[in-house]
Amino acid sequence: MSEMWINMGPQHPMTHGLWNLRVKVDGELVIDAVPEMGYLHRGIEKICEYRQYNEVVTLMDRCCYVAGLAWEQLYLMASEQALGVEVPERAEYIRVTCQELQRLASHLMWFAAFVMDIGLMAPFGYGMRDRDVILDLFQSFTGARMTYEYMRVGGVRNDFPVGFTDRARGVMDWLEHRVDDYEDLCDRSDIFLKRCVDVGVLKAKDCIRTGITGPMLRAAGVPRDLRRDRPYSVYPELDFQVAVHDAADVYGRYRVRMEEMRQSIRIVRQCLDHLDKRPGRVMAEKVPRFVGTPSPPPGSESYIVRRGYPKGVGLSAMEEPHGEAMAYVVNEGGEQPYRVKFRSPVMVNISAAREYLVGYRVSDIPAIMGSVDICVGESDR
Amino acid sequence: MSEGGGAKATGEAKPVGPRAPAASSGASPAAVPARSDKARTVVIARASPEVRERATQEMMTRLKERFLGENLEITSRPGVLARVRFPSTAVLPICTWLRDEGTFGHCAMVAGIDWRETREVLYHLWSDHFSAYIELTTRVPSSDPHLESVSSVWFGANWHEREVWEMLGIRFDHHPDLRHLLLMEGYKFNPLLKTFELHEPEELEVKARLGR
Repeated sequence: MSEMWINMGPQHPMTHGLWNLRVKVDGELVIDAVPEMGYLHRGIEKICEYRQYNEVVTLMDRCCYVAGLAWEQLYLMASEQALGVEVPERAEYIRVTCQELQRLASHLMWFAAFVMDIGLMAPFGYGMRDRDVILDLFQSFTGARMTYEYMRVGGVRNDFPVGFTDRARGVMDWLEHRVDDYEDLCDRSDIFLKRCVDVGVLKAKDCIRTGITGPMLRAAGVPRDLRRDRPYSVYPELDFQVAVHDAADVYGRYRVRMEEMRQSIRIVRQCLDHLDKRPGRVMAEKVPRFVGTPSPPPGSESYIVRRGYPKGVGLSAMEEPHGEAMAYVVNEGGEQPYRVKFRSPVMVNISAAREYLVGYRVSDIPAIMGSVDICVGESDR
Repeated sequence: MSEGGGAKATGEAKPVGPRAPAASSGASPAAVPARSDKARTVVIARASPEVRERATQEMMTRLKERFLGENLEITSRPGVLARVRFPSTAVLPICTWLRDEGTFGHCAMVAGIDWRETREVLYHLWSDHFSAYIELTTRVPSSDPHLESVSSVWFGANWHEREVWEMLGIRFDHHPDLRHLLLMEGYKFNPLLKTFELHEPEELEVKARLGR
């Protein structure tokens, strides 16, 4: 049989965003795969060097458009460490609530897209509709459904509105049953199981060697979850479990994400209970003034001013819905960060595409790449 | 912010098995293979801070002794186990040692920073054993920025190095595939260098109006 290269992308139903997967096929068999990125590169790391600390938050929403609040907190944890700002406890609980709601929204979005790739149309509608209910919650306290611009250096912009906790609790109770419904829809579908089970296997050893993190790693049986292993924010106070699965295939990844949604619901409930009991500030008392004031006109003499603020370096790592995300912020005493570097879990997960695609059939590619949960916004930045 | 400090066990790993065996109505039962559903023990450093501190010190002493001639600078920094500064020529042996002997099996991030005269390369490595990151840092001169690639040590460093190369112009010797990753092919500039100026739209507009 003759071998040939085919391009799946940059416009392809499988890609879920702009990127290109070049696969070498021998008949139906995949014998090589080369992912190509960069179609959505906007130079966010460079733009950050020209923005004040709070202005960068706007860019973070554009980094990952399905988990904007996660990236806001990731960047802010690093810059708060670099600037030496303490965040009040209530703001931390609000952030973690956002974080877990965002994980639910992201996993629902993944679920909807993934099952449609596989050929189940009904769960697609359920996933998209239920995600909208969570976006309604976001809208009620941030005013936006996708690009929130909600967090600030030192806390969050505003507290939850009156009655929000009760409303969110209602949504959580309802969503808990919905997750059961999704599993019923998928696990009783022979099409789903035939396309998922023993497809795209990547064992734990290979996952660690290739740097893969997140649900893909946990589906291979490695219980690494930075929320527990390198606790940040108020996660040490919360009670939750880490979902792992032994299968290391597409089915295991689906299973891990379903369980993570249940655990997220658990965490959100604990946070809401805490927020009801403990009112307080949502913004730090002492924040350097320059993080909030708008930039002087570009090109003017005062554009990059050094005023001798204390220098510092911040490193944050968090368990984002897609995996292990990191931010490194260098504060050299200026009004803008000197350097901001992000680690995107999606970029690393895609980089190992050859490892989990070779040996499967072309028709398996949508299922396998769907199970990776790709968000090109954060991988290209 | 309790970053990286707390060692309180908040939860155990919970194996997730399939729910009720799929009661597929009349379909072939062969579609649902049996799956292992047994629990596994989770080995994660949940020791007290003193034990962790002692283990860290022991590992650092071994690292220092192994690379006696390289003048390693080991400092502490919040959020990471330690910060190790080393000469750029020793990158391969140190990284290999940390992977094999130091249990740092996961290369999380390779970052570059432009300090004008020199360029810094940072490696953040994760160890499941210590449940923490270690920060490696080295500097190369801006006149001839190059150092050895660690893609052979961790496959996961491959794309990070490609990004550092195109953004900061730091060459990684013996890299298997040093091509542009995010930028277009043949792009001659290194955008994250401080000499690369970002022009704001307003600024360009003002310049156009003034005829400059």
